[in-house]
Amino acid sequence: MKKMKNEVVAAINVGSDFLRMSIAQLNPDGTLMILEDASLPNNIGKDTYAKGRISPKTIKETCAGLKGFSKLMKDYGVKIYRAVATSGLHEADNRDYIIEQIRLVAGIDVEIINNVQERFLIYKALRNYLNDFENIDLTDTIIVNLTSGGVEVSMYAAEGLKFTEYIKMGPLRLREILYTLETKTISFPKVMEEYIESKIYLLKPKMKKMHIKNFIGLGGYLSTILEMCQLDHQSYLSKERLEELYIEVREMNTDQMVDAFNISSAKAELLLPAILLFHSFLSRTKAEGIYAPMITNRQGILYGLIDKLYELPRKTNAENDIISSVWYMAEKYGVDKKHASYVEQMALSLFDKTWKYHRLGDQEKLYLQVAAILHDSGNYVSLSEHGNHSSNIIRTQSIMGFSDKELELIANIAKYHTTRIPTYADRSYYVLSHHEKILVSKLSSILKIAESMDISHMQKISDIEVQVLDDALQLKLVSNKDILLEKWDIMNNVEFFQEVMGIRIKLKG
Amino acid sequence: MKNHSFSSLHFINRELSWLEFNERVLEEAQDINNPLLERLKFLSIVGSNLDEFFMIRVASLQGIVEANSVKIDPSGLTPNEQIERISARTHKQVFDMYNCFNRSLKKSLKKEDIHFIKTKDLNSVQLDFIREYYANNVFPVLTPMVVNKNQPFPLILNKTLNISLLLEDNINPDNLLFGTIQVPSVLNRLVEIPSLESESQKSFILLEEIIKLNLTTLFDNHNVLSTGCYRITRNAFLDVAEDESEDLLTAVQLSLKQRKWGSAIRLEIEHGMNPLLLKILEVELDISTEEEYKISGPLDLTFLMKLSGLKGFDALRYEPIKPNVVTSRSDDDDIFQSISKQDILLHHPYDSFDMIVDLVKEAAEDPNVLAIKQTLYRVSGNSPIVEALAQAADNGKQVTVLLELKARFDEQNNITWAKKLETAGCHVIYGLVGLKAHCKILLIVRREDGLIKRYVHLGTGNYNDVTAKLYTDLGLLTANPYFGADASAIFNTLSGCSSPSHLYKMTLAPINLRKKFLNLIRKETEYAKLGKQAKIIAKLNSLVDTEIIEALYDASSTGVMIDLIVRGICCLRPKIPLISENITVRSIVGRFLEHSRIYYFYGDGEELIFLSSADLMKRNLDRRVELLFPVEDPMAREKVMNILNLALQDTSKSRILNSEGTYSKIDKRGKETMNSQEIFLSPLSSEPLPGEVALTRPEFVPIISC
Repeated sequence: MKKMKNEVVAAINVGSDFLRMSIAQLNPDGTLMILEDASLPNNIGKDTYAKGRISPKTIKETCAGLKGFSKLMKDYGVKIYRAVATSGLHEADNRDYIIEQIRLVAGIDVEIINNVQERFLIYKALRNYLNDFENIDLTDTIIVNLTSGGVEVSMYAAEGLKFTEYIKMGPLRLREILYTLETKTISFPKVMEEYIESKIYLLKPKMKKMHIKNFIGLGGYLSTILEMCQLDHQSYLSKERLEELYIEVREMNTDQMVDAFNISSAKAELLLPAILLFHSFLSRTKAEGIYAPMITNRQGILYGLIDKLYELPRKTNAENDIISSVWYMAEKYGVDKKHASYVEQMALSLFDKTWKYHRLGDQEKLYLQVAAILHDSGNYVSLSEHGNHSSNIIRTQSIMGFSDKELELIANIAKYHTTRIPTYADRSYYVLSHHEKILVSKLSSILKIAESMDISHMQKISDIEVQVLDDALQLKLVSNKDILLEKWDIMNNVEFFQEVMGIRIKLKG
Repeated sequence: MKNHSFSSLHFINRELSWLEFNERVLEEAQDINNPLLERLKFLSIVGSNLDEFFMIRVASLQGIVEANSVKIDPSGLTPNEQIERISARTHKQVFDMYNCFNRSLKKSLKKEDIHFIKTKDLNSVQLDFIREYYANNVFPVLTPMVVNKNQPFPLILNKTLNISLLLEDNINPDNLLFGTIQVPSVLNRLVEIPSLESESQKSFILLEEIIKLNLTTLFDNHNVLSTGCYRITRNAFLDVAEDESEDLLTAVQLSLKQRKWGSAIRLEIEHGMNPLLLKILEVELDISTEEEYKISGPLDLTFLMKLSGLKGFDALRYEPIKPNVVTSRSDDDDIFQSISKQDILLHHPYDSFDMIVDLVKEAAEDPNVLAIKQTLYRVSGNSPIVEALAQAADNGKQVTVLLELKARFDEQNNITWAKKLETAGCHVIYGLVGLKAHCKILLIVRREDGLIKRYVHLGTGNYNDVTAKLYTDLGLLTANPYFGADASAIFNTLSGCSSPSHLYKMTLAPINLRKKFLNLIRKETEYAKLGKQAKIIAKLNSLVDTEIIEALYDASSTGVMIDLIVRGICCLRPKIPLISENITVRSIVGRFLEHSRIYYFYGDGEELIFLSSADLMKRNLDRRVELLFPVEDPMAREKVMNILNLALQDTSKSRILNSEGTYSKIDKRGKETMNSQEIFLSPLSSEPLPGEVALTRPEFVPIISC
C-alpha cells in the first residue's frame, strides 16, 4: 500500500464537442466523491470532422478553457491528474502543436487516447457503476457508446466480452458529412437513416446471432434524449417511449425540434442522428429498453487513478474483458486454441518464475498474455512469415484498453515468437525507444521458450520448474513423454534469453 | 394557464410608485417621534434619492422620448405622460421637503440651540470670522467665469451647486453680463461660525452665503446686480455598450468620464432669482419650465447628513445598536466547526456582520483553507473583507473575486479595489458581459483531515460592513454539501470555467429564476384550485415584473392568500375585485433600510422558505446574476418565519398600499403600537418565541366551505 491519503485528483477530457473536467476526492476504500464537474463547449470535433485540422480560433478557446480548469485544480491543490483527448483531437492533423500549446498556456499535459482506450476508461467506470448501483449481469448484453465522433458497440455473452466494433458514425460526424444534403430534401431524417443502415449492415448478422436481452446506452446524448422524453434524471428509457420519440422526430426539421423540445438548435442538430442511431440498434435486440447510466470517461480516469494510488485489486474485471475479447479475435483468425492457451499459460508461468531477472509489471505481463494468445493468428494470412502477419493483425485490431503504442509493442512481441530475433534491420523494432526495445526483447524471449515448449502442438510438457543453481537458471521440464523436439527447439531459443536477461540457462528433464 | 387578461388599470406606474416610496422616507423626516438628527438624515436621503431618480429614471424616460418612441408602460402611460406626472408629483414633494425643513426642522434645531444664521443677522464678530475664512480658505479655490463674446457658456458639472450673477460693466453700464461661480465641492458646505450667547450654542452658515457676501473681490470693474444659486442634474443613464468593448474595465472608465457630459434634465434655482438670469439658464441649458424647481431654502439638502453627525447631541439620535454576536458559537469551537454543526442564519443589523468579516479573515490565515471565492458588488470605503481577501492571496490561497464593476455609482470605488486585489494575486473577474452579477455568495474550500469540505455563505445583501449596520439583510452560513457543490458550480459559471450545470438547491438568474418563481406561484394556485390552503408571503424591495404580478393576480383570484411586504416600488395594485382581493401590500420604512428578500410558499403544508438577492423586477430576473436558495435548517426556518410574522404585525412603520396606489399608515385604534425593527433590536428577539411561530405541517386540512 502506498501512502494512505485522501487525494484530490482531476480527470480532464478534451472531447470533440466539450472540454470537461471532474475534480474528485478519492478515498482509500476505492470510492470517490465528485467535487466539481465543469464543462465548456468547443469546436474541436466540428473543425476536425469537416476540415481535418483544428482552427486557430478553436485552439485559442481550448487553451483558454483549459487554463481555467488548471486554475480550478489549484483551488483544490490538485497535483495528480490525467488529461486525455479523444477522437476530435486524435484525428486532427495539427494535433501535436495543439498539445504543445495547451502545455505552454494551461500547464496541462494532455495525452491523446484512441477510441479503444476511451472504451477501456468507460468500461472501468461502468463496471464500478454496475457493482455499486445496479444488479445488471452483463450476460447477453449490448453496450452502445455514442460519442460525437463514433458509435462503439460491444456484446457480452455469458463467458464475457465477445467483440467490440467501432464505427465512425457519431452524430457530430454524421452532421458534418451529410449537412450538404439537408437543403436538398425535406425528408432529411430518412436520408440520414439510410446512411446509418448502410454503415451498420456488417453488424446486423452478428447482432442477430446473439440473443441480446440487455441494452446499455452510454454517451452524453442520452441524458438529453431522456429530458426530451420528460425523464429527467432517470436512467431507463423504454422501447415504447423511444419508438414514440423516433416517430415524432423523424418528421421534423431542426427548427421544429427546437420549438417542440425547447432545446438549442446546435443540440437539435445532433440529437436527430443520436435518436436514429439508438433506435436502429435497439430495434435489432430483444431488450425492453435502454439502461442509461450516466457514465463518463472521466469517471474511468478517476477510478484508474484510485487503483493506481491505492493499488487496489480491482483490475480483474477489466482484464477479463480484454482477455475474453482477445480470445474472440483468436477464434476469428482460426488459432489452434489448445496450443495458444498452453503457450499463454507457460509464458505467464515463466514470466512469474523469472521475475527477478526482468522485473516487469502487471501491464507488461498483460502484453505478454495477449501476444501469446494471438501469436499464431498470422497463419490465417499465410503460413510463411506468419510471425510478421501476426504482428500486422495485432497492430490493426482494436483491443480494449491499449493505446496505439501498446498495440505496437504487443505486435512486436508476437512477431518474435519464432526463432527470429529482433535486429535493427527490422523497421518496426528499430523505431522503438531504448526502453521499449528492452521490453519487447525480454517479453519475446519468454514467449519464444513458451512456444518451443509446445513446438509439437501436443502439450507434452505438463509444467516447468525454475531453480537458481550457482550462476545459472535451471529449467526443469516436467513430462512423461518424449520431448526431444521440444528440448531441441528450446535450446535454439535459450541463447537469446540468456543475452537479454543476463543469466545462463541450464535445461533439465 | 392565464385566467384573466389584465389591463393597464391593474398596474401602478413604477416611477410614481417610487415617488410614493420617497414620500414615505419624507414622512420619517416629518415624524416628530423620530430623533431630530435622524430626521435630518431622512430629509437628506429624500434629496439624494431624488437626485439619483432624475439621473437614472427620468433621464432614461427622456431618452425614450427623444428617440421618438411611444412605448406605453403596463399602467398605460406614454413616456411623456409619465414625465408630466413625475414632474407634478416631484414638485409637490420638493415643496413638502422644504416645508419640513423650514417650518419644522429648523425650528426644532433652534430649540436645541443649533442655528442657521441669516446674512442680515450676522454680527460683527461673525462677519470678521467669515471675511477671514473666505480669504484663507474659499477665495483660493474659486473660479469665477463670465460669459461674453470670447467666453462661451461654461460646462456646469452635474449636481454641483453654483451661483449665477448678473453683472454690469462699470464703464459701459448698458452692457449686462452673465457670470457663474461653482461653490467649491472640496470645502464643507456647512461652516460653523462663532456663537456669542453661550458655549453650547452652535451657529452655522452655508458656504454659498459666504461667497455671496464677498463677491466684490472677484469682479473688477463690474457691479453685481443680482445673484442666485442654481444646480443642475444631468443624465447619468449608464449603459455601457458591452458587446462592442473588448475590455469591460476600459469601457466603464470611459463611461465614467462621459457621465459629466450628459444633458441637463433638472434645474433647481433659488427662489426669487432674477428673471433675466433664469432666462439665460433656461436657454443655455435647454431646460423647460416643468424641469425647473424653485426652491425656498438652501439647494441640495444632502449637507444635512453632515449636520446629523454633529459631535455631541447624542440624545438627538437613535441609541447605538448592540448587535448580537451569534451565540451558537461555543468557546472551544472555531468558526468552521460551528457552521458544520448547524446552519447559522444571521439577521443584520441585529446580528453582527462581524461574523462574516471574521470568517473571511480566519479563512485567510487558516492553513487548511485552499481557496476562497466571493462576489463583491458594493464594497465599503475601507473594506476589511477586501483586506482579508488580499491577505489570503498573499498567504498562498487561491482567491477568486467577482467584483461587479457595473454597480451603479460605485464604479470608481470598485475599480480601485479590483486593482488592489489583482496586485495581491487574486484572480479578479470584472463582471460578465451583458449581465450584472448581483448575487451575494462566498465559498471557502477547506481540507479537513485530508477531506475537502466547503463552507458557503449566501446573503440577501452586499458584503459591505458599513451598510450591514444600516440595512436589514439575511445571511445563511452552511456546510451542507449540496450547497457547497452548487456554490462551486456557480463560481465556475461566473468565472467562465464551465457552462452552467445542474444545481441541487439553488436557482440562478437569468437562467431559470423567473421560471422557478412562476412555478412556485402556479403550484400554490393549483393547490388553491383544489380547495386546499394556499399562501404566499414575500418580503422584498421592489415588485415590478409584469409576468410575476399577473401570476400573483391569477393566484389571488383562485384563493391564494398573498401578503407582500414591499419596501419600495410596487406596481401590483391590491384589492381589485376578483383580481387581487386576496393580496395585501405593506411597506416598512423606518430606522433601517429594509433590504432582505424572503419568499414563502405554503406548498400544501411543505412550507417552502427561500431567501434571495433578487427583487421581482425584470432586470433582476433577466439581466442579472441572482440567486434563490432554500432555508432548510429548522432553527433557521423559525427565525425567518419570525421575521415575516413580526413584519406583518408591525403597526408603527408599516404603511398599507391601497388600490389607488397611495399608502396609508395603519389604523392603530384598539391596537398596540408595534415597531418590528425595535423588537428585533431588543436582545430577546434573537430567540424565536416558542409556540407562536412554530411551523406546523398539517397532513389533512378539512374543507370547511366551498
